[in-house]
Amino acid sequence: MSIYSNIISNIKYLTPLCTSLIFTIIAIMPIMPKGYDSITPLLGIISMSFWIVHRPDIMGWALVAVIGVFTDILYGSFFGTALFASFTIRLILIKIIYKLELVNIFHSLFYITLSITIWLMIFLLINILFNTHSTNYYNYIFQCITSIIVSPMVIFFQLYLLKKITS
Amino acid sequence: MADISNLKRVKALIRERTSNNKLITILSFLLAFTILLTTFIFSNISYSIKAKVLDYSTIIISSLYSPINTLNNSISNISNIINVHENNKILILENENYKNLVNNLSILKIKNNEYKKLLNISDDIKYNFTTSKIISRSNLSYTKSVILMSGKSDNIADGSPVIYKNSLLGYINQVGNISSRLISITDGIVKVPSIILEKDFKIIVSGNNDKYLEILNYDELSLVKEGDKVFTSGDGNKFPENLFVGTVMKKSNGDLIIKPSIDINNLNYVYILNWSLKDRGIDIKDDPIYYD
Repeated sequence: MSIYSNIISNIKYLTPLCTSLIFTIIAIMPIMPKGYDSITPLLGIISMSFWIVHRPDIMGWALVAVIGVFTDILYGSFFGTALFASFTIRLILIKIIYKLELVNIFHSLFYITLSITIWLMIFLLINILFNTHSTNYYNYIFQCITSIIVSPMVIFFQLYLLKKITS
Repeated sequence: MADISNLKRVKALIRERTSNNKLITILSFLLAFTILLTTFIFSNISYSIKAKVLDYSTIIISSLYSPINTLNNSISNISNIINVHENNKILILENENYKNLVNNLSILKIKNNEYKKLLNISDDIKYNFTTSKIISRSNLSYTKSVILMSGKSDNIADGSPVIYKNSLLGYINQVGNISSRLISITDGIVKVPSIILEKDFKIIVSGNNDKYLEILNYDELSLVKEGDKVFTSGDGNKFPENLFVGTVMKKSNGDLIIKPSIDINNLNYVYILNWSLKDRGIDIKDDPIYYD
C-alpha cells in the first residue's frame, strides 16, 4: 500500500479536526448582527466537544492540542489558555461518557453545554487573575446562552458527517 | 438487529481504543502548564509561534471574511433601506448644523494660526500611516482584538497605535510577515492615558472586555460630567496626543463610563501610525532616555 493510498484511506479520520478548525475560523467572522459581536457562539468548541463525545478514539489528546493552540492564536487569548481548557473539557467528558450512556441528541446537548461552561469558566478565571478590576459577567453568560441555542445546528451537521465516517 | 449489534461493536471498539491512559493525560496537562508558564515568563517564544501560525492562516481567513462580511452588510443595509425616509430627515437637519460648524471652524483655524505665530509654537507632528484591511472580528467575551492584513512586509512595528479618522482604536500587539493583531482599547489589558481637554483633567481609561471603557482614577471624579469628550494625553509615549477616545456616559447606578468613539466591528479598514522614534520626531542623541 503506497503512502498516497494510505492517506486517502485514512483521510476520513481527519474530518473531526478539519470541521473543528473550520468552525473555529467561522467564529471570528462577521456572523452576528452589528452590536452583538461579543456574544458570538463558540462554534469551534461546540464542534470539538461533539467529536470528543461521539468519536473519542479519533479526537485524541493530540488533535485536541492542535485545536487548542489554533484557537489561542486565532482568538488572540493568553497563549496556552485554550489548550488547557480543551484538555480539561476532554478529561471531564471522557470521565462522564462512560457513566452516562449516549442515547439521543439531548445527551449531546448536555455534553456541549457542559463543555462551553467549562471553557468560559476557565477564561473568566484567567481574566480575573490578570485584570484585577471589574469584569463584565453578562457577556460570558450571554455567549454561553447563544452557543447553546446555536449548537443543535452544529450537532445535526456533524451527525451527518459522523454517519458518513462510521458507515 | 444487525445494525444494533454493529453499533454496539463500534462502541465497544471506541471504548477499548479510548482506555483512560493516565500517563498520556498527565503528560498532556504538563504540556499545557508548560506552555502557560512559558508564555508568562518567556513571552518572545510564544510570540514568534503565534505570528508564524497567524501568517499561514491569514490566506484562509481573508478569503472567508470577504463573502461573509458582504452578506452581513447586505442584511444591515436592508434595515437602512426601510428607515431611509426617517434617516434622510435627520441628515438634513444635521447637515445644516454642520454648515454652521464648518464656518466657525475656519474662523477658529485662522485665529489659532495667529496665536501660534505670536507664541512661536512649532507645528504638531504629522504622523505617516499605513492603511490596513481588517480580516476578522472581535467576537469574544474575554478578549477584544482583530486580525489585520498588514505585517512586517508593510513596515508595521509592534506597539504602533491604530486610528480611524482621528479616533484611537488600539495598538498593534503581534506582527507577522503579512498579518498583525490589533488589540482594541476595549480589551482588558489596554490602559490609555487620557485628558478631558475642556477641564484640563487627566484620567486613565481602561478597557474591560466590554463595549464601554472604565475610568481608573482613584482621585475625586466630581469634575467629570456626562457628555465630556475624552482625548489621549500623550503621556507615557504609547499613543500620540489629542486622539479622540470617547464620550463620558453615566450608568444607571451613577458610575461613569466612556463610550468609545468608534466600534471596531463596524470598520473594514484602519490606519496604522508609523511609530518609530524618527517618525515621532525623537532624536536618540538628544533624548537618550528613548531607545528601540
